[in-house]
Amino acid sequence: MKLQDNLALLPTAAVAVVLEFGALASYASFHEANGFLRLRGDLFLLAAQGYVIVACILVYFWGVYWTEPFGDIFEGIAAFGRGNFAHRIRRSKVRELDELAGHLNQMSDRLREVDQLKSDLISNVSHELRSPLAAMEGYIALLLRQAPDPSQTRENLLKIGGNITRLRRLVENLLDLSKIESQGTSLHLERVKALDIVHETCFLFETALKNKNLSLTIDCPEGIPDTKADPAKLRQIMTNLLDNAIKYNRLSGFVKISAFSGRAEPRIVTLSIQDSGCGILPEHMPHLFERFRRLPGSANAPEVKGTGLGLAISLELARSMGGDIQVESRPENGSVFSLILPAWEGD
Amino acid sequence: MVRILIIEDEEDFRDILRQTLEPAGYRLLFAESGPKGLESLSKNQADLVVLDVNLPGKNGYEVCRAIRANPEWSNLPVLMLTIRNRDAEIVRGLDAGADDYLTKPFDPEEILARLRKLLVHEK
Repeated sequence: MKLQDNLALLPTAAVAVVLEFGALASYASFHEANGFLRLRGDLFLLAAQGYVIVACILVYFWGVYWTEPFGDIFEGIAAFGRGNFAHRIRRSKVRELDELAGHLNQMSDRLREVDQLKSDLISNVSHELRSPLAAMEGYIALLLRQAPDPSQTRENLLKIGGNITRLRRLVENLLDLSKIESQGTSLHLERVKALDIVHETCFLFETALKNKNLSLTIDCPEGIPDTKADPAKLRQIMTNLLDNAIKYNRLSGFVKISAFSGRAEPRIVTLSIQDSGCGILPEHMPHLFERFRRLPGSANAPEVKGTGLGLAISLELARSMGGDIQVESRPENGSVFSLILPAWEGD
Repeated sequence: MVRILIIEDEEDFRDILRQTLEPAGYRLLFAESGPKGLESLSKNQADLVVLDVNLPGKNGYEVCRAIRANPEWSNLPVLMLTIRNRDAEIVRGLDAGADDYLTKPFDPEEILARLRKLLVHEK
């Protein structure tokens, strides 16, 4: 029973008190008119006051009796809404409410089952798809060795290969997602120099940067604290963010990575990745981190291909480490993705 | 002639490896499971092992540790094949004693280059 529920009962009690006193006053004045009954009237007034107090107490408990199970039910529905299907609504003494709680719990069991089935299905199907797709890519690579360059055959093979690679990446991303969902991923938080990971990741994108003639600057002032993170997860997030910064960039643009850390406690480290790409329209912002959401290409990046899972995975990974990802963007003015991580505390 | 033992359960990848490595002049031996791979290794002399991670019977890490545990094979080069560049898998493979790794799907030229490097080191 919460305080505000108690307060909510006060008006009810007040109304009861006013009504009782009203009835009492008219009764008393009636007796007064009859003179000799005055003493008995006083006695009656006393008894009536006691009656009013008892009534108030009864009203209070009656209110508690009815509102408490409702509170539990609301709390339960809110928990289910948040996806917490393990939550259980307490059974109530009121028969109807008890039944309602029972049905809601049952519904949540069923939802949990369906949710699990979905995760298992995605995970199993993805596992099964991965190998044949990799084999197909292998065969394409073999065929490409035999196809004369240049030739239509070679071009066609490259296109098939590109499509298969895309499918395989999608499947891999799905597996990553289902892993995050099923076990909250096994985290290995340790002391990590975020800048090391940044350098490692940038190294992987050297060719991609060169292909688009993009300049890369890494700006990391002295005294940035180490972060508390899982290096593998951090690498995955950086890969996704950098991949986007390159994919959606214009030719001969720039990518700028900077690290900074405020004075506020608890200390955090922010890694921001700025690009000179097409930016994100305000109406697309709310959907940016949704799964399978791919923003319509702009003039700069009409050909961009992806799975629409990269940012969703990155955000989940960042949150699992106690961090976050924030975005600022203006259309045609590039975007800044900021990865926020907790700083390493202690030695 | 250099002999390479390929321990791989998937027929497609055995086939791809055959088509990639045989024209380069390697002699290939194949095994479809971990235990069969170790058996073949003790029966036939191999100069290098290409080892898949997901294998029936014994997985690639276990096979790799078993190879390293035998003094006869302690210097035998092992190239691990994993399904993707998952850092954890790669680290586990290297910890188990693999000399190098490659992710599936691999580029034919790349696997040939890596094999050449491993074989030179062995000599």
